[in-house]
Amino acid sequence: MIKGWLYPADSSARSAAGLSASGERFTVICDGQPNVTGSIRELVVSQRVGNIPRKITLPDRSLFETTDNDAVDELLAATGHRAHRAGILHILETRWQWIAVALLLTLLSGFATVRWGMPWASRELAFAMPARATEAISEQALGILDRTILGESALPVEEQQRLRRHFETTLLPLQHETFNYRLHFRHMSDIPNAFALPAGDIIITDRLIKLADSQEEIDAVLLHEIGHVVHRHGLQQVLHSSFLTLAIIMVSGDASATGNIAVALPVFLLQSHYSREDETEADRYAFERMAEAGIDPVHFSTIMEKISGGPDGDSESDAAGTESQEDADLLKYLSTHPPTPERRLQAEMYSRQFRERLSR
Amino acid sequence: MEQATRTDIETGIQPFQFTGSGGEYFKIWIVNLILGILTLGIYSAWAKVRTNRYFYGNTQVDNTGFEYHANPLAILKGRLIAVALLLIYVLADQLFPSVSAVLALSLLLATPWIIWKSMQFNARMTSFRNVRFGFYGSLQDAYRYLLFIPTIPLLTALLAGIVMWFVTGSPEPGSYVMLAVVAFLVTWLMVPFLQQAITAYYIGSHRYGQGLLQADLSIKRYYLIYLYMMGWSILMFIGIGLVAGVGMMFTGLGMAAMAPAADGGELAQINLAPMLSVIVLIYIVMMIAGIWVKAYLKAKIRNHVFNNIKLDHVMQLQSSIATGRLFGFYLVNMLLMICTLGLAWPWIKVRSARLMADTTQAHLAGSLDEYVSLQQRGQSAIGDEVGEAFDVDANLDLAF
Repeated sequence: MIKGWLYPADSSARSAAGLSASGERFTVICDGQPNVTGSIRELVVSQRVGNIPRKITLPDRSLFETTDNDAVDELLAATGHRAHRAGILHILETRWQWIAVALLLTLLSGFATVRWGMPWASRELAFAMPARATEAISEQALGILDRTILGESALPVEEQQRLRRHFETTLLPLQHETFNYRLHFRHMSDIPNAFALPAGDIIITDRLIKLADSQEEIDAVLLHEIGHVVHRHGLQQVLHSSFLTLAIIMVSGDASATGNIAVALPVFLLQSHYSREDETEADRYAFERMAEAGIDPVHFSTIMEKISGGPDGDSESDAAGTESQEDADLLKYLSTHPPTPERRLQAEMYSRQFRERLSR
Repeated sequence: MEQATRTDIETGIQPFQFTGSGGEYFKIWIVNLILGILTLGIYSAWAKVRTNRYFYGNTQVDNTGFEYHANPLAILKGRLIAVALLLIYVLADQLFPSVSAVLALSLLLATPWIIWKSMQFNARMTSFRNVRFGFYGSLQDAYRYLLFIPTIPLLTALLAGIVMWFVTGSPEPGSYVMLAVVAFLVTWLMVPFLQQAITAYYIGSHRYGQGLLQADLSIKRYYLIYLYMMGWSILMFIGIGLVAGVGMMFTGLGMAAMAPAADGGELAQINLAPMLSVIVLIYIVMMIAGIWVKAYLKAKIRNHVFNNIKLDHVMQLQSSIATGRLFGFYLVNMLLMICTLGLAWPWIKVRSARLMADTTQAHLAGSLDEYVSLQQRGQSAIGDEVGEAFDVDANLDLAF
């Protein structure tokens, strides 16, 4: 006998009742009311979820409600009721071995999506993005930067013109892809910095030009930035973070979760790793073009050393390592760039190859 | 005899209880998640129904739980419609930008209708003791409280701006800025009133069977709660500002000493670590203060709303959640989420349901035996599905 409540159809009036079965028949016994009886196949049984009260609708539309889920399951199994098959979900949801499998699969697919799926999709999309869209994005970004952290360049106009002419006549002919490259000079509170926007705008700060002792050093930085443009790193980053945000909203079902530090932290860590690979790729691009133009790649290493000796408060700075010894630990964590020594070694290796080729 | 004992149990104070457990829900959640992934999101409709049934069914009062009746297929259909609409919007945005603006405007105009439909759907899909809830709010009121009144200040300012332009020819840009500032300020001042009006509409339009639910909410109480919240925020802001200023002064001294070196051509080695740690510390303290403010608002409003919910003359709800308790609850949740990278989510959901149930009681003055499910008027299925699809109940945050 399964104990529970009996409700008349559509009514909240309830009475204590019991349901019992013999063979193919069920009987509901309720004090002061005639027994209800019928074929077990005619019962409509709600699916089991955890241990919430089970609802059994009788043929006369009255409802029998019970918390004795196990007894109901036994009855369904014994009589081969069709609701028995739906019980498979409850089995999945209660056996630890299935839970372990589900957990493992979820973690694996989550990891694979974030680690490989999203970078792949961002890459494909970044390369498929029409020029009109990248132009719009870059224009907007430069506008915001100009209103916030960038100031007008203090560099003499003749010097700007000379650098721009050099950029157009020496560096641009090395490019095989058609981007609308534009060189912008800006002041940025004495921070040596250079960065690229997706459409081909390259911004270089006064401080960086002052730091450089030769044209070759400036060229090294500019080629590195062109490398970011050619490989569409900026677009990929933007798309990647959009995908992550979207995924977080979908998984957590909550748009406000994105502001949550618990969510922001892993996103941040993933992205800084992602952009380290980008820096290496842009470096390699710069080294190859420099060799092509007859510039010794060692200049890249020289300018980078100068930059990394200086203050660097901006995490978006490119072509710059950010180690000043005391803050090395903290800043290495916040830095989106590969550690300077590694990049210097790379530059020296390319420089050796470059000189070997010259001497041959 | 049986009749007599039953009546004794049913009158008086009935506490709400949440009978689920974090471990049990974790298993349901993880199976939902993996089946959702394996079916490319199709299972999510079934997952939603199972999740709702788990939480409704385990929220118990008067010896029984609530029930959620939605058909997963209806929800799936709704989600497909939503995805299709989104695709149309994205495509239009790419190909015909002017069309997409029209689409965005129509979505804005349709929002109250979608929310209204969703309220109907959710009410109708909920039952307690074999009797369905219903939502009978008028569409007109939905538009009044969700679209018309909230946009009055902005529309007025827009109109005034146009008039100004015609009358004076070329007014100073400053007067337009003033107009916009005033409009935003008035909108902002209306927030407590709107929240009160929408909540009263939402609850007062619900029925339990033929029974009428109502919430007599006080506008004054809403404004007082917001006023106190502002007061607390300002006090905390000043306090944090003072402490931070002192901290910055101490760490800033090192920087000032280095400044002359920077001008002299040699690069200064600025010690960033203490500066950064002070900034991080301030950020964390601000975040905790923000959580406290959120807890205060939620606790006070929830208590006020629940203490005024009545079902006919039969039942009166009572909520007694303390700000401190809710604040501690939010903090623990945040730590759990950080430490487990989100895997603690099911436990947090269960903890939340349990906290809300534990602080809620029903005062019964009569029998709940007299209620009967009403036959609902014919309602278009498509509206249900669109309303369901946008899942607006989650976004309409009434803070209770």
